[in-house]
Amino acid sequence: MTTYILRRLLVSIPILLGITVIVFFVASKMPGDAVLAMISTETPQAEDLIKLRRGQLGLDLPLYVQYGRWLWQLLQGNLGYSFQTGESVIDILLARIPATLQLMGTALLIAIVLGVAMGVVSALKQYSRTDYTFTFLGFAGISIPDFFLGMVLVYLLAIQWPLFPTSGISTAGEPYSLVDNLRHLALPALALGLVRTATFMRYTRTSVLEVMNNDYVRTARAKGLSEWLVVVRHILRNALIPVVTVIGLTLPVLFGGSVIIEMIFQWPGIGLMFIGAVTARDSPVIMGYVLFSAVMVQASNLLTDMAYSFLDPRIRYD
Amino acid sequence: MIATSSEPLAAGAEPMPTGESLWAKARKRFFRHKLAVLGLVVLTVLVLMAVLAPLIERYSPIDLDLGSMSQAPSAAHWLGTDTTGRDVWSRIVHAGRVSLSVGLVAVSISTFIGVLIGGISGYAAGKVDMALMRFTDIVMAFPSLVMIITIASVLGPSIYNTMLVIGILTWPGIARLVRGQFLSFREQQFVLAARSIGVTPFQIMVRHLFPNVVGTVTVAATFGMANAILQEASLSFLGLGVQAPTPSWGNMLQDAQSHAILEGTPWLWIAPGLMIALAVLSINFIGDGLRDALDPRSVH
Repeated sequence: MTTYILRRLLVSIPILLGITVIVFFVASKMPGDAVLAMISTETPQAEDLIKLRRGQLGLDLPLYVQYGRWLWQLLQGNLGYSFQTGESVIDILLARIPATLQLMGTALLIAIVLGVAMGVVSALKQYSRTDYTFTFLGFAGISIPDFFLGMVLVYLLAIQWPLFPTSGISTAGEPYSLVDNLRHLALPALALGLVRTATFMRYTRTSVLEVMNNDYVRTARAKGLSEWLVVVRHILRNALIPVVTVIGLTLPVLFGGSVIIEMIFQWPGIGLMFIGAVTARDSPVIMGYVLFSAVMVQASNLLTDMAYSFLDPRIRYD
Repeated sequence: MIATSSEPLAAGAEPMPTGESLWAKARKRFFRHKLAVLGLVVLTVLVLMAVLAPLIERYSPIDLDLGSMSQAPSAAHWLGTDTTGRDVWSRIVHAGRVSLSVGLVAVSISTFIGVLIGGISGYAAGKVDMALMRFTDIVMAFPSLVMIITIASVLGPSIYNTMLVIGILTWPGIARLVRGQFLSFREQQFVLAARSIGVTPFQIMVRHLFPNVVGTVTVAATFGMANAILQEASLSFLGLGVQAPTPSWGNMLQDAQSHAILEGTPWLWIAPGLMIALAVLSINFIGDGLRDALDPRSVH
């Protein structure tokens, strides 16, 4: 187990390095740089000033030297400074991560709970009308763009029947209250979560169908256990192990989706910050976000693998 | 979503010939899948609408008509008009051309790269495989939509860049699939036989290995196309994809971000949203049917 985790960690290192190379290369192709953001071209002797500043910041050095310096800064936790506000990128990220985690976490929870429940029912009633309906709903789920679902939810539940606020994370000007926050969270989390339910449903259904026909399930039934106990204790316990991997698969799409959902709902997380930075061509902030999302995906893959080997002792990696 | 058994087909596992060709059998399996047939019918209608757009448009999809702004659906404008008086129906059918072709081109690019990288990786094995797969891991490490947005903003928004960006960032799935299959085939007797009589590696890959993965790749590419359409919609929705005045289903939704439009003129956003869902849903159904037809060994 320990050797496995160590080996798995070692494998992540070249991947993380590769990620930084790509992020740096893409950012170097972005129009505009820190100096152009600081010095207006209308300043007298702008060209000389720009040249001077470039030299001071090392922007005239070969690209690989710049990469080395950037990586060294990165390792010390410095992601650079926003072109727009001059704030440190890491501070901007840290301030906004909790909002995004709340949104993504709730969406993931919705997808897991709903998806697993529907998957289990679908499998237990294989080929029934419920099974077909759920399968159809699952296909519809993966086919509806999350931002369109978001618009439909706003139209129905915030405009036609104003049950929920249309945007934001809390009512402006009011002191923070959990109820108010959750009311704001409901629609964006549903839009983001509902469309990912299908993936969990399909995996759960397949997995439950496989486990259901095992001898130990028949034994459990034969010794007179109630159906509920058979399902919960004997089937689900084993069937849900492969579903853990789906969490790892879902995280990258959740990142992409949260960008758009945060924009529609003006949810003040890192996705909204990212879109703002893309519009303003604020490359340090863009790089910071891309790097953060890629590292998070790596970390979640690692955790998923570890959870999997922990939950299923039959799996040995050495 | 695509699960493929890793074991190669054991020798002798082929069913006895019944006089029916493999393709005839696959066709039969496909047409037994009701939802796939429904998907095929709907997609055919959508494609026809796109191809015949200049014939079935009722107004110009681009010219403004400030005399009839934001009109509700009526006999004159089946799906109403937008804030600049353009006919929504005409824009929808033209947007279909854009959205479907972006999806098709993007998935062609990603399938080509995926088959190439996966094929070389699986056939060469060893160090080449190791290097290519680490590269694939790195590309996969980025949430694809995030990277698509980033690179699209570097290249600048346009319809061709949209195709290109989606294509060059969504190949890892297919590459892994093809690599797995090639790895399992490369030690088999038909490959050894070909190698021993001096067939070049390129010929072995193209003539002997590739035909074995056509089914799997077709299924993956079909689901890939559904995804590419969704990604184009997201990108254009953000204003980083297909640019106005050219309509795409995604950028038609972009206009509806204001609450005034969301509330006051729902026909502006409901129609393009439903078109995206309809197109993607029917392609996903076709993909499911193709999986049953071409890849019967897969578990799902």
